[in-house]
This record gives sequence, C-alpha cells and structure tokens, in this order.
Amino acid sequence: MIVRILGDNQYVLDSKYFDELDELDTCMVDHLSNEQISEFNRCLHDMIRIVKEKGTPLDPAEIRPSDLIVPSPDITPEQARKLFTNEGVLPG
Amino acid sequence: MEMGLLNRLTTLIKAKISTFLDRHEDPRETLDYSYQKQLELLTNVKRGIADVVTAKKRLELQKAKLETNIEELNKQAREAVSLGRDDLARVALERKKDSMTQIESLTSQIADLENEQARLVNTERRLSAKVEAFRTKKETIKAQYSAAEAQVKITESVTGISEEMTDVGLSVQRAEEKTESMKARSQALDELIEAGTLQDLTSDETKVEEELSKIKSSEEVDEELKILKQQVPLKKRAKKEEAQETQQ
Repeated sequence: MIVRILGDNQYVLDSKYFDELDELDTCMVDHLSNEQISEFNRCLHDMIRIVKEKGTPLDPAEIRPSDLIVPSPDITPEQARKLFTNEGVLPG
Repeated sequence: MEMGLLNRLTTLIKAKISTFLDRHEDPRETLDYSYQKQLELLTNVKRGIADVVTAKKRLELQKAKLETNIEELNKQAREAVSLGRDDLARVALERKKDSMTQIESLTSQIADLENEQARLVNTERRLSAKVEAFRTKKETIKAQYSAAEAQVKITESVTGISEEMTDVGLSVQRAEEKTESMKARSQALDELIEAGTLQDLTSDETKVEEELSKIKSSEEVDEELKILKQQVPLKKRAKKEEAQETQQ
C-alpha cells in the first residue's frame, strides 16, 4: 500500500503493517480524547517511524494516490481535533 | 480504520479532490486545469522559500546587532565599575542580560526557519519532478485516448497529483504562518528598540555613555581643580570657590 506522511513524502509499505498502524491510530484517538498529549505524540511518532523504516520512498516521478494519509509529525492536538470537527485543516 | 484519525484525514483529502475532479465536463480539460494549478503552486512554493530566507536574514541581522551591543555593554559596565558607579554598571549589565535573552530566542527562531527552508526546498524538488511527469502523461493521454477512454487514466493521475498538491499547499501555508509570526515578533523587537527599552543598545550615544562622559568631564574638572588648589594661594582660592558656587 502507499502511505503519505503529510509534509514529508509518500512511501510504499507492505500491507502486513496495516494492523500495527491501525492500533496506533486507535491509540492516538484515545489519547486525544483523554487529553494525554505526550501519549498522543508517542503513538504518532511510532506510526511515522514504522512507515519510514519499513517503507521505501515512492519515486517522485510516479503519480499515485495514497491508500492512507498520516498527519505531519508536528501536528498539534488542536489541529488533530479539528480533523474531527471539519474545521479548516485543509487550505481552500 | 473506522473512526480513526488516518481515515478521517484520508477521507477529507479525497473529498476535496473529487470536488476538483467534478468541475469539468470534458475530463481532458481537468488535465489542463490541474496542470495550470500545479505551475501556480510551484511558483507559490518558490515564493515561500524566498520569504523564509528573507525572514531568516532579518533575524540574523537583529542577532548580530544585539551581539555587538553586548560587547559594548560589557565595556561600559567595566568602565562604570572602575569609576565607582555601580548604579550605571548595573544598568549596563541588565541591558546585556535582556539582549542575551533576545539572542537566545532569535537563535531558536533562526534554526526553526532553517528547518522550514530545507523542508520547502525538498517539497519543491519533489513537486517539480511530479509536475514534469504529469505534463508528459497529460500529453500522452490527450493524444491517445478519446474523452470517454481517458476518464479512468485522468482520474488516477489527477487524483494522485491533487493529493500531492494538497500536501504541498499545507506546507506552504504552514511556512507562511511561521514567517508571518516571526515577522511580527521581529517587528515587536524593533518596536521595543524604538520604544526605548532597548533603544540605548543600538544608538551610538547611549545613556550609559552619556552618563560616563559626564562623569569623565566632572572628573577632569575635579582634577583641574585639584591642580588649581595646589597652585593658587589660599587667600585667592577662597574667592575662586565663591565664584564657582555662584556659577552653579
């Protein structure tokens, strides 16, 4: 599968890592709702580490949509919360 | 990933892209329109890089100014102490401390902009490669397929490039916000300098310097007076002191 890390790059990653990413995603959402910011960041950084270490960067000349989009490593909890409330995270 | 963050983010971005794809009836028009947008975005990224560089240079200039001031304040503090004016030495040292705090914050802001610049340069390189690939693909699609046949291929490549553009757009937006906030902060520092808090750090004739030169001149007067006292006989000296008092 192709995974994009926002503000970084697209990576080709074996689909067997999907479950691991899914778990970390749940972890992020849980900690976000419990206001545990450092835990939220830990899950996010673990997720980014897996994508970068296990995946290979997509050739820049290849134009392909991603299967999964991961937030930038420095997303703030406020920005993450906005993703769920549909407020302007994406530029017009 | 039912309600996860990744799913949410991915869906939001895809929804935005499909709105873009629905805009044109002839899908081949979408290709040209998208390409136009890509070139605009590339220009924006380049401008973003230039803005970051300008903001960084400005901060570096302020930092260099403050560093020069610190040297000067050190000299002034020593001079003040040697003249027994601890009060002035304190003023100079306090200003030095303020400047050092500012320098520390400027240093981290400069490093921050440095990162932002590197990030945007990478972004520009990647986007350029993709735009070039898209251009070639666009011409192939237009030459080889009818509108109906081209649809699938167009959707695929436009979706892919639009995702890239959304990502790049976010990077540019983020860099703009950063340079704006740094601009505001460095203006505040300028204002602080103008308002007088740090004014004496940059002007040539500082208050401390003025005070010191006053002391120096009154010391010279004292010195001259001492010599006079030794030279002039006592009877006449009394008159001279009287004259000085009426002058003051």
